[in-house]
Amino acid sequence: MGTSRGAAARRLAVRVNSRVWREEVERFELRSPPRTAAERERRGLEDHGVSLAGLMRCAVEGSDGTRLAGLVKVYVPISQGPPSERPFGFVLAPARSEQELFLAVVAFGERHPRPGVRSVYERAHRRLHGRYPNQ
Amino acid sequence: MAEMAVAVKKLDVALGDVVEIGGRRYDVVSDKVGGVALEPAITSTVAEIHAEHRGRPLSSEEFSEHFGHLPSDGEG
Repeated sequence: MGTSRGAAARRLAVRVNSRVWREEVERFELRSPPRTAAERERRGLEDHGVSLAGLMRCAVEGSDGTRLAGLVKVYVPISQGPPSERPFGFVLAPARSEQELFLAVVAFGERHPRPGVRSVYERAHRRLHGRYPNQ
Repeated sequence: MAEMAVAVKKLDVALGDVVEIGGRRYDVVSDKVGGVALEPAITSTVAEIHAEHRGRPLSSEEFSEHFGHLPSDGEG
């Protein structure tokens, strides 16, 4: 399911590592809003990938100190709705295998959590650089 | 009200350490107000995740080719 340039609805394959899913999604309580939102999207992501049109580039230097060059994101719930109605996000890392270009889920969480809780961007920074932004 | 007797276990840990409690691993992280907090551990890097998927990261040129046109909202 690689990119198909010029197609009306270009989609990219998404791969979900079970350990990453456990660490990112299952850290939330069962039936909590973020976990429910993520679980609702998983089958669609794995079976149909994600539309390029729904992706955004992560910030090279975010206002929160994160540095996420080379990563992309999609807000959750995945929809055409305004960002204010989609409080969660997946951060995805593009990669190429012998067969295709794909996106690996590397972080999930709240975009703007309450103070003291890591945002999805800080978690992605940790996975990319091995430490949190303020460490 | 009588005070509860609590046995305090002192931990010799620092930011960035990983501790295991009850079989679960936690990162020792800053609580952003001068102390520390425990969060469920992140145990693999992006590079390791790619390797597990038998993929390689894109070069900056490849990233620009495929994703350079995407919008960015500067949020993170």
